[in-house]
Amino acid sequence: MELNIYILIFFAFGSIALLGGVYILFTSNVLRAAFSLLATMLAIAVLYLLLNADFLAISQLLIYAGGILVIMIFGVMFTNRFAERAMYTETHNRLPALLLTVGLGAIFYVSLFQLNFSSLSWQNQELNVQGSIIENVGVLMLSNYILPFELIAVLLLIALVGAVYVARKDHEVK
Amino acid sequence: MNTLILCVGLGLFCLVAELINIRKLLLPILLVGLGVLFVFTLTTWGTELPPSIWGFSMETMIRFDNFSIAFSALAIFITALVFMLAIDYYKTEENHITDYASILMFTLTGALVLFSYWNMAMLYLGIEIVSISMYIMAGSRKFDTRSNEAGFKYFLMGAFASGFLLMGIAMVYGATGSFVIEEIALYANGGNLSPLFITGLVLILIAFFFKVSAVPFHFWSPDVYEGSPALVTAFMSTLVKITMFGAFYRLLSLAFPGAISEVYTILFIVATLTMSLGNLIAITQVSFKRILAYSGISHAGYMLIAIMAIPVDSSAALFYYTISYAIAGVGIFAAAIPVFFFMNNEKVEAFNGLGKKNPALAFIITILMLSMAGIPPFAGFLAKYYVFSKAVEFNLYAITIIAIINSIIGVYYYFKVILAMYTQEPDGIEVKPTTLYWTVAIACALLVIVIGILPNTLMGLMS
Repeated sequence: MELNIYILIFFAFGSIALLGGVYILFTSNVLRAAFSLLATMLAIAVLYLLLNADFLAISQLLIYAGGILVIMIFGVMFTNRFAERAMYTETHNRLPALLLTVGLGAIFYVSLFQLNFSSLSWQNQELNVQGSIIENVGVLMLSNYILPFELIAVLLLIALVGAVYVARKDHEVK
Repeated sequence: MNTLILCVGLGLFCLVAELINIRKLLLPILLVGLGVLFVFTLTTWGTELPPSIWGFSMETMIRFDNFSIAFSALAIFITALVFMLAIDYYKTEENHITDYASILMFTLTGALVLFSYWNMAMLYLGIEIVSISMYIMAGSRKFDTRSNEAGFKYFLMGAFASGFLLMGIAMVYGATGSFVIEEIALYANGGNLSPLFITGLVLILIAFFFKVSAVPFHFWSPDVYEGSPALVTAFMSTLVKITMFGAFYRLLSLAFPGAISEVYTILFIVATLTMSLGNLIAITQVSFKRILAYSGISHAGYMLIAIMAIPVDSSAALFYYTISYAIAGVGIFAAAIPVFFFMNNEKVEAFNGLGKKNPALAFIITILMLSMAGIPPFAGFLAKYYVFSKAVEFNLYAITIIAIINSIIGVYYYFKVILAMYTQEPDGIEVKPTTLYWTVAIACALLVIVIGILPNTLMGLMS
């Protein structure tokens, strides 16, 4: 294999993402798990950049690293204060979990590692993008993809109504 | 397309109703709206224009064919029946009625998308809209721990299933390079399928098995059905189930017709387990809602047979089955919710002596239960007959024999309720359903009989 800078970056950040994921599995401290998830998310954002998917990388940073993880860490810190001790997780049902993981792993092994990637038709297509793809994404979202775009609005509206309903102060109905 | 926009509009109207303070009138207005929607959907039969927004063709996103129009009309009808029950059910919770109504309307929107999607992105969005609404509704009794448990359990399991679905869609995209149904079908029919494609299909199947509560992915269903408010259970066990089956059938018949033989063994095993375990566990249950949950699981098994028979075009059989199942389901809940309410008990023993206390209600429950069990002349019998005959036409003898044995076992637990009504002694507490409950229950019982006696009109629609 020809060793160039892209492959080096891929393996460096790919292993950061993997190690972060593995650390989540083996730590029992929820706060540390949240921070290592942050590392995984950031590394994946870099992998997206390598694939020329700059829009995806920015969304990953904004939504996962910037939004979801901050909320998660806030949540852990707040509940820590009430419980007055660090939050720890436990492991249950090891044997079923092991069986499931091995089964799923076997399926992914067959489908991904046995696959001849160059046989996929789109693999050999020339990537015809100059500079950023954000403009294309924006145009497509408001033209050909307008219907899913509007449906996402409906989905978010439901989530909003549900969140307000669950969070609002209420008195018990008899 | 206009049906979809109207449906979203009705959902938004519910939210505005809170502002302009017409809570009391909200449900009657919605019923009228649903009636308009129903008629409007039927008028588009065979004439729907290619969908477009602002001049952009949406043909790669959504397509309305007779299959989707028939299922949409059924879903709108079922929603209208549930809303009729909601008027009395939510009388004490007027503060929340706008939230509930809007979420149920948006669920219907998701259902309409799921009957007519032409793109995997639309499929995912439809499933998420239906699921997220149902997570909220399952946990909508905020001060009832069982409702909280139901909402939370459903949410965790459902999120897991959505993850499988996304992974599967991504893998299918990796193999075919497209989200559009017809291009996936082109690839699937081309032969020489890559392992990536098959794995993706299997993951999508797993997600759908979760959503239709097929064994071994059924664990959420009894707890969620039991913990949710009874009206939500009625909605979930009828509308959501037929929606998921409509989407499932559409996916496998349009996108994966060439690959269905590859996953035939999986479908066979899951359908067998679903029918058998659903029926066997239902026998041991004492809670009425849990019995209905397990009966719903076994019905999912029968409907999976219709999915297995896709190569001989079993869409009419599946449509007939979903109609008979959904209408009987709504009817049973319309008759059972007053019983739960007055007896303050959701077990089978709440029905003790109902045959003497309220003979008419007991009679209606008996008709609907017999239809569910598949006893002629009610619709449930012909539904099973059509599905089984499609299976035999496709030479699926083994699964048909298993299904017939199972439908005999199934009769037992339906009769447990009927026997409780007629052989046990009444305890003196009156059960007096309000007019709306009566209306829905009687309408469902009549429909089950009429559809059972005159099936040809409905069966002719799809062909």
